[in-house]
Amino acid sequence: MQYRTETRSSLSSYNKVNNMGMFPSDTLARVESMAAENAVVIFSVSTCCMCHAVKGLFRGMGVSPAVHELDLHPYGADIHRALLRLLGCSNGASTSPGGLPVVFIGGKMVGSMERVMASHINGSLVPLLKDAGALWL
Amino acid sequence: MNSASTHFVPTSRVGIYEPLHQFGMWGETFKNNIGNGGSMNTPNHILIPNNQKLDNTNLSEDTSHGTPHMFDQEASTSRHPDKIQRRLAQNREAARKSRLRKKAYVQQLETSRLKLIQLEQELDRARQQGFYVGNGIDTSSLGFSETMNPGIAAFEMEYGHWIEEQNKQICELRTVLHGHVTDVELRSQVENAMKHYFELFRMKSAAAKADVFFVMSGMWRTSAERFFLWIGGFRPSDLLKVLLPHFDVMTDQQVLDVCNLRQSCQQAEDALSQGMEKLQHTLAECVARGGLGEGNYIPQVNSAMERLEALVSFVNQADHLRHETLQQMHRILTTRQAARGLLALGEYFQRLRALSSSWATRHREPT
Repeated sequence: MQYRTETRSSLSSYNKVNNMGMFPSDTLARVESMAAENAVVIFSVSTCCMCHAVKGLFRGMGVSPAVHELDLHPYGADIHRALLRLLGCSNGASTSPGGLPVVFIGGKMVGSMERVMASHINGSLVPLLKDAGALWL
Repeated sequence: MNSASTHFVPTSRVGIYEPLHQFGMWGETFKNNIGNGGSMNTPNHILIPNNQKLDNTNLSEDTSHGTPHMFDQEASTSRHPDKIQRRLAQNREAARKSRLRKKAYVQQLETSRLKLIQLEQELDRARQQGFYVGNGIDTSSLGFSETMNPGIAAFEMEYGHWIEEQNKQICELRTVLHGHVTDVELRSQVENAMKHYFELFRMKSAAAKADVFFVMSGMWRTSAERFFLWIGGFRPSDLLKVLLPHFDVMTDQQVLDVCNLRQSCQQAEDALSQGMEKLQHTLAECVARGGLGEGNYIPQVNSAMERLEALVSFVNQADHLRHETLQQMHRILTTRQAARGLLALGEYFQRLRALSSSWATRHREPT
C-alpha cells in the first residue's frame, strides 16, 4: 500500500512538470503496478549483460528481485520507452545502450546500474533495501 | 690482392666490359679469380660500403673478370680446353656464392629494419610512461606507429602527461607529509590528487569510445600493471587492500565504514565480473553461430559488432566503480589519512612501473 502512494505521487508530479500529455497513461500505470509488486523490481532485457550483472549484484546480497524481461513481455516496447523517459529526466545520460537495466526499490525508481552501484558504495543501498523489507539485518 | 688486378683500369661499376685495356693480360688474370663472377649479369647496386659478408677484394676483381673471360674463349679454347672448363666452373661457383651472400646480407638488413621499428615503438611507449629516455631518437620518424586512431593517439599522449603530473604530485605529497603543514593546505593537495584520478577516468571514457579493445588491453600501461588488469584498470578491492595498512589510528565508526566499503566494493566487482563473463559467452556464441567451415561469416561478424558495444559500458561502469570507491574512502578518512593513503597508492603504482622497467631490461645485464 505504501509503495503505491509513493510511486503515484512521484510519477504524477513528474507528469505535471514535464507535460507528458502524450504519454499513454495506462503504460505509466502498468509500470507503477509492476514496480509496486515487489520490494526490488528490475526491468531488464534477457540478452543484456549489464542486466545480468545487476541481477547478480542483488542475488549476491541475498535479495531476490522480481525481474521483468521486456524483450519477452507483450508490452515490453512501451514499458521500455516509458522507462527511458523517466530515466532521461533524472539521470541525464544512461550508460548502457538501451537504458536498461532499471531498478525500483520499494516502488521508487533508483535508476540504472551506475546509480545502483554508486548507492551501494556510498552505503545508501542497504538501508533502502532494509526499509523496503528486502533485507533483514 | 693479386698482381693481375693492377694491370686493369679500375672502374667504379662492377661488371663493365672494358676490352681494350685488357688486351694482352688475359693469360695472367685467371690465376686467382676465385670468389667472384657472374657480375656481368648482375646490376650495379651490389656495391655495398659496409660489408660484413662481402670481401672487398672480390669487388675489385669483378671489374677485371668479365673481359678476360671473353678473350679466353676466343684465344685459347683450342690450347687448354680443360683449364678453360675448370675456370668457367669456378666462375659459376663464385657467382653463385656471391649471389647467396648478397641475399643473406639483404635479409639481415630487413631484419634489422624491423627490429629498429620495434625498438622505436617501445621507446615511445616507455617515454610516455615517464621513464627518462634519450631525446636523440625521433620515434615517429619511420611513421610506423600502430596508433592510427586519432582518439587513441591523443589518449596515449594525454596519459604520458598524466603520469608526469602524477609523479610530481606524489613528490609533493611526500614532502608535505614529512613536514608540518596545516590541514587546509593538505586538503587542497588531497583534492588535487582526487581530481587527477577522476581526470584519468574521464580520459579513459573518451578512449573507450574511440577503441574499447585498446583500453581493455591495457597496452597503454606497463607490463606489471597489466598483470593486475581488471576491465581496463585496477581492481577497486585491490586498491583498498593496498591502502588500509597505512591508517594506524581509526575510530570505531571508521572501522565499520571501511568494513562496509570493502564488502560493497567486492560485491559490485563480482557483479561486473559476472556480467563480463556473460558478455564473453554471448560473443563467442554469436561468432560461432551458423556452422564453422563454410567460409561465409559476414552476418556473424556484424552481429558480434553490435554486441561489442556492451563492452564500452562495462569499461565505463568499472571506472565508475573505481571513482566511487576513491570518493567513499575520501569521505571516511580524515584529511591527513587521505593524504597518506593517496601517497601510498601513488607509490604503489610507481613501484609497479619500476618493476616493469627492471623486468624489461633484465637480459641486458652482463652475466
